[in-house]
Amino acid sequence: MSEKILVVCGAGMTSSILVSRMREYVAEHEELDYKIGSCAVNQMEQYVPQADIVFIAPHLAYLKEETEKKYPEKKIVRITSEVYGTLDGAAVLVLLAEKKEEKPEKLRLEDILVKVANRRIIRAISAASYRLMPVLIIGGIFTLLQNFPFQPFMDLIAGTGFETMLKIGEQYTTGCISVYMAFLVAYQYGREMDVSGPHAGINSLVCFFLILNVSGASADMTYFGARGVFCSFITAFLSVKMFGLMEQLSTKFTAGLERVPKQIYMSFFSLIPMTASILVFTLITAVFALSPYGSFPEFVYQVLQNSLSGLVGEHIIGFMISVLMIQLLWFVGIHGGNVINSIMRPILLPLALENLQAYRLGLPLPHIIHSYFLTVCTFGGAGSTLILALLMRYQARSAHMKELGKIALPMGIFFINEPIILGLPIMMNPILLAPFILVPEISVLLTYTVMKTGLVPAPIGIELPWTTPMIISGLLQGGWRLAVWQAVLFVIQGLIWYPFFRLQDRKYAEEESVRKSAAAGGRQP
Amino acid sequence: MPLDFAGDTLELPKKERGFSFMDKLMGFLEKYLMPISAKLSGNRYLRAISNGFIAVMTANIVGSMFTLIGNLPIPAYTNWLNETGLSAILALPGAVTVSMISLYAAFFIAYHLAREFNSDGLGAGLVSLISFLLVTGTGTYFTAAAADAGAVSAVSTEYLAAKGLFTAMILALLTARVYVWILDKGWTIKLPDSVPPNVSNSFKTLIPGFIIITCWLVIASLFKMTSYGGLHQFIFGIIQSNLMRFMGNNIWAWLFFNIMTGLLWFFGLHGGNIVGSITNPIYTPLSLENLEIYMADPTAKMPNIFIGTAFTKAFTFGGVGSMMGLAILMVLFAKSQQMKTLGKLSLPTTIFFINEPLLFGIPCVLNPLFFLPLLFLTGIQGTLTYIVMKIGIVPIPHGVQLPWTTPGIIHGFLQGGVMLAIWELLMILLSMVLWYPFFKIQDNKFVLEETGAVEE
Repeated sequence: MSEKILVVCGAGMTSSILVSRMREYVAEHEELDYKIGSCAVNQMEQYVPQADIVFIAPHLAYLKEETEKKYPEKKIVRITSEVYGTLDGAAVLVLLAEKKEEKPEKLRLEDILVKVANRRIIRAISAASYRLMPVLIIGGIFTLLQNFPFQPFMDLIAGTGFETMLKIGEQYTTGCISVYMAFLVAYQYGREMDVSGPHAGINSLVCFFLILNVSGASADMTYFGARGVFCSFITAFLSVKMFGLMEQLSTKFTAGLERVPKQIYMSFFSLIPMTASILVFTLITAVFALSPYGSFPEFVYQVLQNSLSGLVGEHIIGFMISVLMIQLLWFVGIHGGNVINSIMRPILLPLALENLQAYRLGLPLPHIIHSYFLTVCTFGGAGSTLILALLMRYQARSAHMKELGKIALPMGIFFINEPIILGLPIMMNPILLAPFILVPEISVLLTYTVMKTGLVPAPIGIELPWTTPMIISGLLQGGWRLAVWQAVLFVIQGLIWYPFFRLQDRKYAEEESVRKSAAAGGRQP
Repeated sequence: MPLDFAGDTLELPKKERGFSFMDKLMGFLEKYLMPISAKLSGNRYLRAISNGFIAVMTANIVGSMFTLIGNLPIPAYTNWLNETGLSAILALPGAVTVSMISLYAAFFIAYHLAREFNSDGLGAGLVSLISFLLVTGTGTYFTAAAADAGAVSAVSTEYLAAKGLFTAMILALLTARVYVWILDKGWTIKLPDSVPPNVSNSFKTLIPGFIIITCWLVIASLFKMTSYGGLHQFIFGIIQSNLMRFMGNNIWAWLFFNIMTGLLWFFGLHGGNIVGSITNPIYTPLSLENLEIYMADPTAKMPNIFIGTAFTKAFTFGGVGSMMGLAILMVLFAKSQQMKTLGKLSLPTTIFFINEPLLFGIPCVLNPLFFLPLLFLTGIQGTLTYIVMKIGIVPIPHGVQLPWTTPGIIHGFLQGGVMLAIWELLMILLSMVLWYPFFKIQDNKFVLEETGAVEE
């Protein structure tokens, strides 16, 4: 009897290409007797029980353990990324014949990332971040309009009161991000833990307000924004854990209650998670009120800030580390810029002011790195994705990248790139991790070098809206030489992005053509 | 004994309609009452509001619990709390639940309305929550923060509490409806199918979210310029405060709704649900208004008497018609086997306000004998309660949010202290007195049937 093989990938597209190649290989080799099919990740429940061997795509490797536990009798094999990337059907089967798995190989970054991504709380955070992306973009539009680099426009909105409206708009979208995070992360994490999402969400939000000590006639919004992000994660995580407590308690106590209608005792038991959470968080609030930090969110913020500012201490290396943190945070779906900049700005802003002072007095500029350094050497937001957006808009073959490029390019000019990070996506996408980190790091290092040698002037530290497009910002911060350097850098960034852009584009184009032919030629087996 | 009241010892409703007036009345009511009930209970907007309230109930109850612990009517204890600073800590849970209830309601009402339309509840809820905060914050921003750009931003909590509940309801319903409408229109950023669904779903929110949030921003800013000073102030001033003044102390409105509830139950319809879909949006803010005042000052006189369940449970025990009294009578005095068995079965559940066994077991539903008590018994009790509360003999309930199954007397103690607990005890006795004649007639009827059955 022939064995049945199932190949699982994200949307069932790539795997179906792979399957057709595997079938070719099997047809050529009489000694092999397999029936092969493919499915998307959300169809696993349905198809895995029918298969004998399940191949899992590398980017879904985190499902392997789970699937093995669920179906101990099945053989679950992870396809290595090399094999998957080249869509080598023969190699997949060789993989099986050799019973060779990737495990003994050296521990690679990708594996670690997959492991990290596999944590339920991380999965919940990234799902919540997806949900929040439109909010951040809407907030970004309000911010952009407030900081529009065109003075007559600015005068107009300031004169008519529109500026205040835009500020309010920003304040309650981007400025309240931690409030929404506290709800959404718990909502998603709850669902990962088999707890009702809405219940988990409101419970966490209540606890978040509790820990911010919101009482009295007005609520201090200091921690509603980026400053409170980590605190909101902690709140969501802990508060959802309390639902496990209810589970335990109710199974323990309902044993003797089978004669009582369920609705009677549940009307009391359902109060347990929130009561327990409130007790725990009230306790934390009370204890930290006595500590030198004054409150729990301030404690979290200070610990984070201290550990980071310690790193930044000696300029370029520290600065590169902070850039790395921004990129890594974005990679797992957290608005890295907001979080890290809220910590870095107090450190870097005084340096910019010193530069400006020296410039006014006609003295040599004392600092290269300050709060405006990153904006003169990365363009289009975290990862310097402006050139990527340009490539997507005009060079992409896949509809996915082309369409996204149309949205992303105009926003990218003004340093807003959530559509790319979350829509391409860069987030959680191993293919694009390397350039996402390398491009800004190399740009920072090169720019620092040319400025150190004096080829290009350091930015003078004049205050500009952070949305000021490249070249213009270069002209204003350092004159024509800086503007020219920006153009050169732009090309260099493009060279680094290009191969990865091609790889991703080809992948999407293939998936799209498979789907198209599947749509034309009936159902894909 | 297992709770199986559908056993064959119990009889199905008898089709003996005593007087022709009753027949006519029933025909009339069935013709008009049923369609109205169906309309009300099927209304998506009312259902979304009531589901939204249910979703925030746990927060209300838990917050209330901590408030109660901080305000037990024992002076030595409260003094001790004040001295140790514990009272401030015990006030915190109430401040982030009851006093921010409109914020949570804004999310959940929109969430449930979008779900009623089989649409994206989470997205609609999120947009509604943002809009609500934005509308609330517009007021403070214009005054404090705008004047001094360096000032720490803050949002006024005044309208996050019950005072903003009407705004929350209106805003959430409008937001969710428009959100769903825009999604249905297809005004979304369409990404190719190869984009993972969680990504394309979140892009869906972008355009409706932007439109709705911008609209509320403009509306709130325009209201800021009116003499009301803000959307919240406008809605509160025009609708909520007037409605409160009218409903919070209006015995006739309450009696009307109470009789309607009984009438619907008489037809076997869940009167509480149907009438509640109209009354809850009105009585819940009133109840929370009382609670706010109680939290600020435990000795204050409560402004509203008619505040929904916190009021009705001061005299209604065992669900509609105060049937706990009936159940006690059945256990103590029933001669017929049927009444006795049913009484023993249902007395424990009526303590927790579950009376379906009686309603459908005796049955009370469509039983002409029970027409009067179902419609008017709690009305009599409620009127008496209203009078003693108005005079001030018995305290007005604090509007503390309790689990709906909290038994009588305990309920009274928590809602208003010892006097209210004593009043609840009296009301149980009164309900027994009022039920007695009806109980006796039904019991005799069963006795006749039972002995008759033996003779046959």
